[in-house]
Amino acid sequence: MTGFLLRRLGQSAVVVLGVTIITFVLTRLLPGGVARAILGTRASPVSIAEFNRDNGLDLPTWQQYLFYLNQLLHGNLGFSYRLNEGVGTLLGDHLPKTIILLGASTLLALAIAVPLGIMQAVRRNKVEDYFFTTLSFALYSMPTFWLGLILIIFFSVDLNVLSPQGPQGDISTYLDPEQLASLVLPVVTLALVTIALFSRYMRSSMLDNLVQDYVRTARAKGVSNTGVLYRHVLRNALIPIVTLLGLSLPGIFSGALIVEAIFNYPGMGLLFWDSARTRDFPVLLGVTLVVAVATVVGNLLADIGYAVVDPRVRITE
Amino acid sequence: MADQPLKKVPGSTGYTSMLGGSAVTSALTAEVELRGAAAAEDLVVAEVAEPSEVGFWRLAVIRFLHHRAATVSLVILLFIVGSAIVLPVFQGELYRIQNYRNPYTQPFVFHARVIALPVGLSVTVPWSDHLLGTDDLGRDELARLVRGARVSLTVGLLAMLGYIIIGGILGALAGYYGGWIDNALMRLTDVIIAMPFILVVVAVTAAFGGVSLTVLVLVIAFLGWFEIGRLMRAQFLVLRESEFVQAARALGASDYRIIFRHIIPNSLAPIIVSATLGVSGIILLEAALGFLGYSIPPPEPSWGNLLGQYEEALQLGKTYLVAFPAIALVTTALCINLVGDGIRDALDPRQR
Repeated sequence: MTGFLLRRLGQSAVVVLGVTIITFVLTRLLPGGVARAILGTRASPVSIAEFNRDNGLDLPTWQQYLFYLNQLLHGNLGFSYRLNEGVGTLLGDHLPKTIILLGASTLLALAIAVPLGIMQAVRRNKVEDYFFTTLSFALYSMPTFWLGLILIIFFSVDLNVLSPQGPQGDISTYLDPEQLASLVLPVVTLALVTIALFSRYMRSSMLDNLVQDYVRTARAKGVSNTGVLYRHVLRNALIPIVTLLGLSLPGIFSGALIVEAIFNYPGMGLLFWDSARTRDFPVLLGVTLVVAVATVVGNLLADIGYAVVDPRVRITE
Repeated sequence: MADQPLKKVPGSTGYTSMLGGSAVTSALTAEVELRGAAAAEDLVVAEVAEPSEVGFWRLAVIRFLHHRAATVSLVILLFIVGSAIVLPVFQGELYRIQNYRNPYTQPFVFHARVIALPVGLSVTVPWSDHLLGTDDLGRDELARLVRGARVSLTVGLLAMLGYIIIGGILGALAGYYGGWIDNALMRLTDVIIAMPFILVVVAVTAAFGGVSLTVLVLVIAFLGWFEIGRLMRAQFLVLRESEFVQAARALGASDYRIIFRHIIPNSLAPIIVSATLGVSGIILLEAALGFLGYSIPPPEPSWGNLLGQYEEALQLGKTYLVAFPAIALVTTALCINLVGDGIRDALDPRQR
């Protein structure tokens, strides 16, 4: 198990490094560059050269990268020229809000999708199954931004019961009734798409397990229907969901970026869009790095979780 | 049966492409259990007519046609693709012809129009100059929608072709040769998966001075191939060790022959399913990019940038300008997903 852990950790580090190289080189390809974005289009060549020298932008690209990496290892994520603030501070402000959005919607999605998947598997090819299959197909085929728009039109414009804008205040005020209410639409939008995905997997995972030999054995021994379902089938059917959680993290992340854009939710996504418009590279690199690390860690946790809950994985390791 | 051993196709119940008589019967028994009496009748007829040709792919087609939702979706999809190909030919430049005199014409407004027939008679028919109305610049919405369908579908299909080429080759290399090649390619896959897609699109947008169809397709293809790649690798890992491949190797078949004649034909089922479902994913992705302003720039319409004008349209109460592209987009994505589901069931009845 220790060897497995060490190898996976090493692989993850290599992947994060690969991501920083690719994104760094990509942003350096941009024409115009940071100096023009900061100093404006009418800046003189002299002041641009001065700015580049002051910020180390006149060095060869690989030196700039090594410098960036060195700073990174010392905990310095860079400095946003435009917002005049450290990237670490900016992320510290915005990341928790995104995590709340992600966490709340994923928990909501799991709480609905798992029972739904079980029900659909048990009542396979009955009316309920067809109904929810149709519904999840429709949800899954709907772009996130469109779903958000429909919810805004219905709940904010027509019914006027929920705020079309995410909570704007500090994170400590999120428990106020008003802020909590404005959190509803973003969370639900993100959750609906995830529910559609998760319940499909849950259903097919349950169906895979329902035809296994151990189910027949359990039934032959006289275990009751609910006993077979919850003590035997459900525990095995949940295993792929662990992996799915890790693997769908980047998808949920990009969903969150879009949801934040629709609902003006001041998380990492909104920070990202603003930085993209103004070519605020350090912030872009910071956000990229955070998403990449989160993805890699998610996959790592999924793998470890898989090994913990499924003894068969450990035998083959 | 002796000269045609029953090959197991991983991920399916294991019909061969050429079944002997007794195998057909057992396949039919499985089919009867799965599908009930109605399917059995058709299959029995098929068996009586040409018993030796009820192969894997033919059974798959029969099973697909029994999936009603998938069949209906396929028909709707063919209709959409057909109009995207045919209509722009007649409409020509209509999608970009502006008419400042009548912006925001309502959809489905008809007036009487007299049409002269060649024999000197004339008939009065209900007629609409702009069936789906016009947008803020007086451009015909139907023409823009259909033209947008062309863009969205082209992006979807070309990018999927890219997925299959990149993912197929890399996955096959990793799965077949294993070792350090596998290791290096899998790390590359991990890097690609971890890359936030949007950043790369935005960066490339600026670097190329704007997005074109080619750039969009290339960026999506280079960032999205990993699912096909992983599937391909998994298939190759399993099939490489299978008995029929070992037999081929023992007979002295070259790597090329083993890969193209033995492994690839047997690994197609999950790839086809994933590719079908992937197309709808790409179309939705293009729409999201267009919505955020990072897809193909106007005046060229795509479903994404048509939807991107939602704020103005909703403020002015012109809901139809948002509704039509959205309906087109969701219908297309839904139909592709249902067809993909039908193909999955058809190729792999065990998954039901």
